[in-house]
Amino acid sequence: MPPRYPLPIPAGVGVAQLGASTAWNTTMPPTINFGLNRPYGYLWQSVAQTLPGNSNRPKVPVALDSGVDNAGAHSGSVNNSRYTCQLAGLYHVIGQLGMRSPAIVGTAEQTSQLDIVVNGITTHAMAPLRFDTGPANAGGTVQAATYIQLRVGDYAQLYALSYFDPITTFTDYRRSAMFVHWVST
Amino acid sequence: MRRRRFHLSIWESLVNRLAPSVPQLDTGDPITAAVWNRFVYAAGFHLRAPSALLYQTISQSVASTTPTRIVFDSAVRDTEGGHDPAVNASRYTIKTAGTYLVTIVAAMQSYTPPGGEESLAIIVNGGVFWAIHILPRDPQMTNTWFSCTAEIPLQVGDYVEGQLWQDSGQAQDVPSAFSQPAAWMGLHWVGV
Repeated sequence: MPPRYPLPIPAGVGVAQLGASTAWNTTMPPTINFGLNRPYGYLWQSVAQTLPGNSNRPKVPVALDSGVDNAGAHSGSVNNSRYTCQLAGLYHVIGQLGMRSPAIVGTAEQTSQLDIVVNGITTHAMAPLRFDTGPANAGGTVQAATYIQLRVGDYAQLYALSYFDPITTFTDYRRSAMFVHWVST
Repeated sequence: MRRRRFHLSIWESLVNRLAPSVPQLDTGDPITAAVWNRFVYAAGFHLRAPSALLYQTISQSVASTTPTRIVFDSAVRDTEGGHDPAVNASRYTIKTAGTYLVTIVAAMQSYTPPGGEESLAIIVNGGVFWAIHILPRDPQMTNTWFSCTAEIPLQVGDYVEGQLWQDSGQAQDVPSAFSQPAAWMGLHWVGV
């Protein structure tokens, strides 16, 4: 998919060059107006996701089924954990993970973890999430933020660390979310 | 030849600063002073986009199980006059519509008993949560530091606040009266 907001390429003019409106149109509006509408996505989870209990504690992509996306970089139904880069460059990414405590509390290692991951491989930021040791399903919410350099087709995701027992995400004001914003070439 | 006129829309007339867009010209149109100045304005806008950095110098108490807005009594900068330290000092009120990158950090003293929760949230218009950081209370920590960040589309008149919450059963302080501020809110305009 081509970028909805292609990167502007400013062009100079020669002395006494004719066609001022053409030169203007190919330089000024795209350059300035691009800055108003840089690729931006705000994605969030509105359907609860349960991470199965697993003693190996694998990391699981966080589904982001809803969102606002001005660059055609996210689908709510296909690979919805991904923000897929449509315009190469430096991006600022903020991740938030909201996770309920396991129904069985009292174990020693009551944690999950939020990772910001590129292409399912490279972790660029992480934040530990400690469950509330009080009532079951109390949970916690953490954030992580970072800059990532993306090529077209690269994708950013949030991953959650699973637990020995099943754990389920929040979908209320504590829900998981990801903000993505293009910063620079 | 059709001429494109530049005018203020109703939306633009209500804001402190215009959206810094530059118009396309029709073929053969001259580059008028109005068009040129629109570019100059837009370039200037991007060089000094709306921004603010607020902080707290007076310690504040957070009652148990009571959502408490952080009072920002001072400012390092506030380019649009979106903050008033005397009236609704917890708020930054939007003067120029757009998407804003907002970060709030705050510290809150931790007391017993352990096992409950403490949180910091970014709240818009008194009730919409855009980010939250929830931690289990750990009385072994003198202060718990929180940080929240979000990119929020905001309209003129919308206001952004930081909210602290805890359930220890007793009041906890935001210890800004000590050697340094314990609560900050920074934000800047990043797009329409």
